[in-house]
Amino acid sequence: MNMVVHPQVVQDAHLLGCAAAKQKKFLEYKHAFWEKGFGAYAASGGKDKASMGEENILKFSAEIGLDPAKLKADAHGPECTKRLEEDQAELAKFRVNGTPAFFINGQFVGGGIPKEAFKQIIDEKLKVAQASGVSGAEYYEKEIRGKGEKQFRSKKAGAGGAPHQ
Amino acid sequence: MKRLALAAMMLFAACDKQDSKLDKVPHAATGGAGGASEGALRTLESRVRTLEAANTVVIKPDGPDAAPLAERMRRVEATIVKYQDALEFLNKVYAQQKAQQDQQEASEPDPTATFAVDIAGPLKAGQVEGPNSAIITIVEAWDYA
Repeated sequence: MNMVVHPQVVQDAHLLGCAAAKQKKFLEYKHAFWEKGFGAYAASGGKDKASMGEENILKFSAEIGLDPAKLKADAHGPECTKRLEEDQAELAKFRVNGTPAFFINGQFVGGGIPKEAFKQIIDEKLKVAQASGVSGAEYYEKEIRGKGEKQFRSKKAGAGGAPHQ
Repeated sequence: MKRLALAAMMLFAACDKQDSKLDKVPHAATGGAGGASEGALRTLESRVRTLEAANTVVIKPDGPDAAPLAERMRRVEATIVKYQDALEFLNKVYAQQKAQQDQQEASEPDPTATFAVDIAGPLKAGQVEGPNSAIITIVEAWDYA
């Protein structure tokens, strides 16, 4: 699941990602972008901003079998623009204002954390989910969406509150 | 009848097995035992009074203990005055740090909370990795793809 916090920084990448999903190639696009878009930008020490721009993205998108003309048209269409706005609005409810940020079965993880810490959280959530007896297909909707917080709750406000499992 | 008597004896034996603590308390109506208890109480009262008298310090304004106490009080007051500025400063620093900590905690998400992020949009759009039936869902928020 991918959502965007600051589209002004990487608006082209996100819009084109949405468009790639319409061509059923979201994953291929994502991996290519990491390597040839953001990867190239990071390798240049932040100097090569063009690598994350539309021109370069369309170039490597064609290499992975995406139709560049359709990609561009869809990216600037109302559907993808709306998708971007919806992502932003949803994350704003939970005051996600920095990236990377994750929600692992609803538990917030801010910033990069070691792989082992990730694994530990996932293992804990897996145990809880398996013990619930709810099927994987229903779990998120029923247990996380159904019982979780619908908006931000601070650490301060949460002190003493009963944790949801 | 035999059975009844046996049962009555057993019941009596069961009741008699353990003495009541009240059994050892002498009753006033019993005479001698009550007198002994009053005597013991008087002895206790007398001991308490002696102890109280030994541990009560009476300082008269012109008594021999008055000067050292006044001197000690003066020293304590001087110390308080000496450290008053430092204490006020520490109080201010503490208040500032507490306010900062409160502010930070108010802006940090509750680590024990489960946040119900709506993923219907990305799901419908196909911006997903892995099967929709996965029991673990990780929502990723990136500033790059």
